Amino acid sequence: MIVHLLGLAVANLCFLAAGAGIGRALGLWRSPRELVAVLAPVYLIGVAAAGIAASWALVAGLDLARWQVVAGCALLAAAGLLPARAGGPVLPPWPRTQAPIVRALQAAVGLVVVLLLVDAALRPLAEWDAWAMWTMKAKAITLLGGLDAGVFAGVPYHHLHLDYPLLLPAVEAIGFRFMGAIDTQVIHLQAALLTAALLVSLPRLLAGRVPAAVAWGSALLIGVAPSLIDQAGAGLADAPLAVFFAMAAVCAWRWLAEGRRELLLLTALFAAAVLATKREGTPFVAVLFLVVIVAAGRGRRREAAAAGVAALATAIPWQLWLHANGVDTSNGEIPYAKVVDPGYLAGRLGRIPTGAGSLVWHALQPGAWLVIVPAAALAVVLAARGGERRTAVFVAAVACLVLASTVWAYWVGRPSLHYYLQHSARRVVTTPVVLLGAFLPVLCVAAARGRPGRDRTS
Amino acid sequence: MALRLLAVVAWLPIGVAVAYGVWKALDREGAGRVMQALGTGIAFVAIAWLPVAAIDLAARTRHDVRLSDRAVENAGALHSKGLIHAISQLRATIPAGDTYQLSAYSSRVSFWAYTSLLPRIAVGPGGGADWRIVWNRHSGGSAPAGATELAPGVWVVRAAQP
Repeated sequence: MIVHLLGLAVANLCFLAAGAGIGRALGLWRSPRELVAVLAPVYLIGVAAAGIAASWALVAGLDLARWQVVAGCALLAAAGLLPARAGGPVLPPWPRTQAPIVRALQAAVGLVVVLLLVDAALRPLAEWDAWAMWTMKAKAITLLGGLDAGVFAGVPYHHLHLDYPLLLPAVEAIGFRFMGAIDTQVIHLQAALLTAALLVSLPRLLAGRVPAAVAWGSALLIGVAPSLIDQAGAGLADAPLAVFFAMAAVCAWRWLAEGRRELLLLTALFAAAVLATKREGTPFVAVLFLVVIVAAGRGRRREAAAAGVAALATAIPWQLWLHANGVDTSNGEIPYAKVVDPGYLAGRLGRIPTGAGSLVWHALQPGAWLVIVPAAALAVVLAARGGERRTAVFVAAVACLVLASTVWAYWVGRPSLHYYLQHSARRVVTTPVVLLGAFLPVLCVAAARGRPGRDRTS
Repeated sequence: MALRLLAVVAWLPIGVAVAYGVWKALDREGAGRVMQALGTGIAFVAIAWLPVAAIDLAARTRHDVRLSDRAVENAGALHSKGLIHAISQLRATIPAGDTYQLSAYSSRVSFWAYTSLLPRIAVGPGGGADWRIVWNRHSGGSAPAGATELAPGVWVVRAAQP
């Protein structure tokens, strides 16, 4: 097991190196001390970029051998050798000293991270979707030397969502390659590391815009939420999807607030990672960029739209592979020919209130998500009544539209609503709830602003 | 349950102390009462729930660390009687790299076979499989001509070469 842990650690160091290079090119860090302060977001950048690149490599016929991964990550890391962009650091400097209460909250987040990772490293591959689909695909990539059409376009495997994108299986396959074995226990660490990195990244990404105590308190609230604890190390793609989407949305919000183009590039990168993680990511990304384009104002709309198109374009290679190999991309669940058929839709209207109600109920469950949604809702209302409506509308619009896109899938989808609610409702609310949790500190600041122009942020 | 409740109650003073610390820190920053109330509430709930999260994670870790290697390897199949034994037999019979056609009585059996039998690849009817597997719920049942029953209800036969 130790050898497998070390192998996975080396793979993740490759991702970190890739992220460090991209992060330096985007001005996230200039000195080693600054790098230490942005290690978590840089790691997520690395996994996102390396994961997308690995998906493309599989489509191109590569098998993700160790040398290919090392060479690919070295290439991405080389981006750090480019001349640093002008305009100063993208994030404000990390304070040398923190208040004792902030250090206490950091320690609590650290404890949760350690427990999450230890739990994940020992967890058996017991979740149905994990062993039947996500890790199964990673095993197939590793054992069959890449995308074998016999499995990834094979008729018997039709029910395994063959059209789902490849980021998670590709990243797990890289883990197996570096372990030198198919360790279905240790591999859970891979997805758990993403959740852990999100918890540490959020306060850093929001630095300078929110008080540190609220940022770390909110990160802790997300980290101790029972549903996230359950999903983080389960080997499913819902938590990684939520992680990448939260990162994309926070970067987008910061770009709207500050206008630094590097933040828009990060938004596009994380949005591309969302697209490469799960099929549900497509409407989520579309919704995010729709809101960003509207919020950007006339002068920046074209930039925002270009970023959205660039993110969507990253999904083309996989779609081409599916098309070339004759994989049914509807998977039989969403009858695309009928989604504009009034008769079909009208006959299923009853699914909307039941589906929406169930999703909201799952999101509000204190036993699953504690008080994340009620606290965010309260802050949105207070912010909307005060002077900071832009932030409130941005967060509420993205969260509600993401939820609406899921309700739409429930409305038009072929499986029975009971099947959907029983098998996926608990998990599909993860992305909007984690999004609200990520924005809690921002919403608190917005709620505290009484009148326009009165800045209370630290 | 009792342990969790006890931990939450015992931990409450810590939660209150941390919440008070957040309240004072936000006060020093001039954050305003609304932000103080929201920030303090969030920090209090998060800290108050920390022992429950820690106990749950530690309990699961303690459970998982005691699992045998066999239980870990077959965690997805533990609730299906006979599945693990049958897969072991099939692995021993069908060489790696060969193809097979599977007719199984349930999707759990099919899915577990697809993942466990890798790098053997399943093919559909008419796909020219090297092996034919029929997996019945109970011992015996319908079977292809010349097949061997590897485990109760699990029949396998090598397809005739053209």
